[in-house]
Amino acid sequence: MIEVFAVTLAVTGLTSLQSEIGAVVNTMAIPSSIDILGKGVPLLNIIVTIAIIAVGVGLAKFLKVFITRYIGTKLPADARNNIAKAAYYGVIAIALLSALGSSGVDLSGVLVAGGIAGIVIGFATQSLFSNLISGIFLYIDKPMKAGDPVLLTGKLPDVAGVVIETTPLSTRFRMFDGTYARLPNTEVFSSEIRNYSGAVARRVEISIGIAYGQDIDMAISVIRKTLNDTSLVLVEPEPSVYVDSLGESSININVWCWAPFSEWFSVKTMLIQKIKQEFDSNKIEVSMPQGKSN
Amino acid sequence: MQNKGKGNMEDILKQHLIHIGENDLVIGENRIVFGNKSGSHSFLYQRYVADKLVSNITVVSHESPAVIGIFPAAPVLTPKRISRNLCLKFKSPVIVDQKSVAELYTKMPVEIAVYRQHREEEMLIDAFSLQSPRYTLYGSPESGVLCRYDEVEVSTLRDDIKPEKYKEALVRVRIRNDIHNVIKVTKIVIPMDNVILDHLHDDSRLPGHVEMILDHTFGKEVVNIHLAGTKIKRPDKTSATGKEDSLTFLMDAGY
Repeated sequence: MIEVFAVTLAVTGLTSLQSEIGAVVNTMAIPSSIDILGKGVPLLNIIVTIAIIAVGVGLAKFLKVFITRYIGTKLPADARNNIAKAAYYGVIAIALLSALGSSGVDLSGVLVAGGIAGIVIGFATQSLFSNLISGIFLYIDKPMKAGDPVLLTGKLPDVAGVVIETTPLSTRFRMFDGTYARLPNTEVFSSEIRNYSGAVARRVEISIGIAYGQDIDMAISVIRKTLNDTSLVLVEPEPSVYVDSLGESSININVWCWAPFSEWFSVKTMLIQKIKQEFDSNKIEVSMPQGKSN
Repeated sequence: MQNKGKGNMEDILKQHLIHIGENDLVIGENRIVFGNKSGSHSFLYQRYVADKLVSNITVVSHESPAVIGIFPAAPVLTPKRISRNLCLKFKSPVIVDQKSVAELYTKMPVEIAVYRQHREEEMLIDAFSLQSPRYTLYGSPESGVLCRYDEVEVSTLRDDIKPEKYKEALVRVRIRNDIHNVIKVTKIVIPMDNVILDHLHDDSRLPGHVEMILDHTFGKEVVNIHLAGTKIKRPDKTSATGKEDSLTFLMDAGY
């Protein structure tokens, strides 16, 4: 009963406010309606429309900030930004539709034109929507996140770089040479993605060819000692050193060992250098390709 | 560069402080020099290994005399902070009967940490190890953890374990086997982040003990490790907190 009374009061209040504004408009000699699309739209409706849009934009901005700062703090940065953007544009779209509905403007002509334009735009933006869908699937599948070093192979020329962000339409990478690349999400989604950040340790693989006639046991022993003396070569999984093949001009020895993921590159380069130095000091000859002299 | 001769390592490390202008401190192959930089309120911390400068830090301060703190520390600082855990592999395995408790002694490697300390605040400025550190992976490459690694002796008698001061520290391990099988323990992973040694005594033991509990959870054997009675360093503060059980680790990839 109380609620009904309150609603009645509110409606009565709004009606009286509307009539008061109308009276003020009349006394100020301002036209009471404006011609839009061949139809006179009351000034009051226009004011209400603008007010709804303004409130909608304000609400959208508030929501965007709220999501970015408080709700999505545990989400990856790019996902958080995209959710905030979706909320922002969603609220604005709702506000626009509500505003147009309350404006009293006859939108049937606009809707017909919009429908035709929609079909045309739909054909023209097929790739846009396929990127959008791929973007959604990239969010669900999560093959990579911002900051991951990745290698994309398959449809594209190989792309090796660090993921900067995935937006609904594209993914941006910082390549290892310092340049930036932007790839459409359909291409990224259909590529083979090799993510190098998924593990805490990574295997270092080195292949060394020693000349025929060299002492294989000694070479393996020197390599093992070098591995033992290198702090960042992990004790477990145990390193593996073995003769892989007998090549045309060399006995090929493979060295497999594990290193902390973040130190993989430095360990690999350090090991190659140290093994060569140890071979030199132990007079173990590294094979040169046929046709080249020392 | 000042070179006033060698300081007594034991005496200086016992105090845990180096004052500006004191004698050079020699620890193993490392020589530490902490001297004035002329013309300003700045001081130079330098560390040499075999006469090669490996650490060179300027400290700007109006404090007189300026001091730096030097402490044996948990072995997770060098050569980089890539691990928070220590994996000790026992040279001889330990067999523990079902539903029983074993008290063991072993030792762990330590490193030397150098802090710039001023009032209650401090910052780690240098760290080094007197032995070559090794690392291992506990678990799988996808979900395992990196650990500082050492292979150590283990005994039920404290006197059997003789840690080398400033290189090693004594660790007491209590193994509680709550499962219905005899178990063989070959290694233990201990969370070590910000753990501090017993500086009040002689820096050569880990305060409290490491509790290793083998139990059944959801039909699986799990091992829970936690530190009991150990002190944890407050980040960037000179003080410590005595929170028990604040560091735990679940050894779900074997023991």
